[in-house]
Amino acid sequence: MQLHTIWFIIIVVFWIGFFVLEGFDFGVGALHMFVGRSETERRVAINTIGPWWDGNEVWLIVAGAALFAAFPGWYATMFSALYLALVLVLAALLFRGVSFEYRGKGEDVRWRGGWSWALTIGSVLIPLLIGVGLGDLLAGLPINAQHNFTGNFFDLLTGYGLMTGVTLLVLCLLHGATFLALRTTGEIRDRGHGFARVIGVIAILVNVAWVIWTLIVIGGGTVPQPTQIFGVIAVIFATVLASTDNDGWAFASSGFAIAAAIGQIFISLYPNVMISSTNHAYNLTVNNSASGHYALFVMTLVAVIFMPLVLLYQGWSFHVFRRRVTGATAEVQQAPATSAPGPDAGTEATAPT
Amino acid sequence: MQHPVGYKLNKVGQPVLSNVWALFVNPTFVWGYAHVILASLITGCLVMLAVSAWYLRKQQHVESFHRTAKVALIVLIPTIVIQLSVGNQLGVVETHYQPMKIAAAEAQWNSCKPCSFSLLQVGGGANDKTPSQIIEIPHLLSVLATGTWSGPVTGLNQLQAQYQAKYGPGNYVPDVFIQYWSMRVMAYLATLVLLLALWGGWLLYRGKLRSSRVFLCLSVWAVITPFLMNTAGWLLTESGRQPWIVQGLQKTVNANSPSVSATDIWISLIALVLVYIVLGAADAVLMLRYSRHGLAQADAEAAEPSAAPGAPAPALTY
Repeated sequence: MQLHTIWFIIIVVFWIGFFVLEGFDFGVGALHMFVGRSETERRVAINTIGPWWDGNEVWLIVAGAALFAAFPGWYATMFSALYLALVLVLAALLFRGVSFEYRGKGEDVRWRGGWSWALTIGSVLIPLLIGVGLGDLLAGLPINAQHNFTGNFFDLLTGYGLMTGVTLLVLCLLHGATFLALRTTGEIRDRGHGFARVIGVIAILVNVAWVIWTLIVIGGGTVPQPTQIFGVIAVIFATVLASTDNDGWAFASSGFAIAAAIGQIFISLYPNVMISSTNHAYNLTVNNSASGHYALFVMTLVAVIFMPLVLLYQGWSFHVFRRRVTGATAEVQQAPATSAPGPDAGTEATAPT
Repeated sequence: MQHPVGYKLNKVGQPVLSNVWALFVNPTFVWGYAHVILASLITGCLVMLAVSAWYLRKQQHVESFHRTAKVALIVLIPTIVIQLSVGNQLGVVETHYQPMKIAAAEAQWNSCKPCSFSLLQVGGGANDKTPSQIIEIPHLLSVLATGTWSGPVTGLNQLQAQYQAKYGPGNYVPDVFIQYWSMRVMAYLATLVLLLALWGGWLLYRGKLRSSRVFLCLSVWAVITPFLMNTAGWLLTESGRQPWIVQGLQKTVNANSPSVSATDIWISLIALVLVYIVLGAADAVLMLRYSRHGLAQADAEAAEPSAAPGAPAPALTY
């Protein structure tokens, strides 16, 4: 297998990693004001993702950086074409990221409410906009023979791109709801289940429509591919399991559904990386947009050494914070004399995340 | 971008990585990296010193803040001495690879040997190439730029002629005003900070740190200097690279993406400035609030018995 194909696969893995991991914290961020009705409940919701959201977000940076280094041609065309959209994503990322840290540092209700909205809006906008961008790769953008984008901002709003964005957003919301159910107890958990059921039904419909649209866009046959079939099955599983106590399996299913959706976009693309709606001869491919062999070789070495390390410590951080977040935990620490709970108080066996 | 290395040009003239090791031993990288890391340390020390001095002046939490002021000063004194010599060495490296940058920083229009360092001058921009020197120090520029007592420094006019011969017609002189003054803001403030730190060290040695009101007052205000120095330093190095975006390979004017219009750039620039104003304001409010919060809260937290060993997930942190 050639190095540029390996790097295409690595980049797909990065995008999948980003959406599977950051997907649940987008979902939690978007839902935290609705799942948590009191201030403590909202903080519980935010604390379910507190230790991880920033680590998860690094997958986006890695995906972008790997794209830049391995496929400079692809990066240049894609990031220039999506320029204004990415500025919007960046602003949303800035406000959202800061909201985690700033929200709890003021007591004022308006201060907290403001940052809650920043978190909610950011968590909705980012997967939606990135989804539109990824959908556009496949839907095709006006690109000329020099691989320059020749359209304007409104050319980015392709029908299929928008559908992809909505699909990813709904999948992230479902993923967040199953994650909340997995990580909390009591009423918040019940509400997480409730949201998962409602969003799940919407997600099934949206996902089926998106799969059909994908088949139309790539053309050449109407038989759904395995990733598409398993993706739809995973959404159904997540929705059904949300009515049971199998929180771990529901979460795994919603994660699989996201992985399948992202994987599907890139499987449909390969060996192209960006479709030109001007002329298919101008498509960007893994061949014509990749770095030199030496650069790819050096990158492969670096990835082989550091990827396992990163996965190891990220996995470890998930292990450390594996217990459910309860409002009680905070109260226990504020008033340690009232009760002396054992290590497992207020927690249940949780499936590994 | 200041001194590209480890690449070959391919058939269509694009630089392609050919030697990754060269990147890690690029002198501009090595010295620039050390310079930035030391600048961060100095920034941290000065912020720590300022907050400590503020409390010492108000005579609150004196023991704790005397200790933090001591740590800040003990780290600051050697760091700023090292920083001055690292910055000097970076200047020598840049004189070698980017002579325009340093010549412009000294508003040195004509070659000289030995060269005096202009401590203060009036004029010297592109429209006034014979600045009126108010104070200058003989030989100092030679020492700073070349590391030798009487080393030659090529002037902007001579460099411009060399560059035109090599790269074709065009203006290769960076903005002399920005270069000259950013260099001086950075270097003069660094010298003042060094004096302040030495003064603090002396007070510490004499055991008078907590009672010297003038020093404590100056230390509080010194908190703005690292931010001014860092900004001036970045201006110096980035503006000094102009008109190149990648020295010798690509000009800034040719570096924009053909599909990103000037309107797009304006929109993104304004959007990011607004975002940073909002976030910066919130940040400033929080930093001031927490700096003035005192140690009461921290004391309370420390006094509180920590959760039992093997306790469940930490309390609501966010």
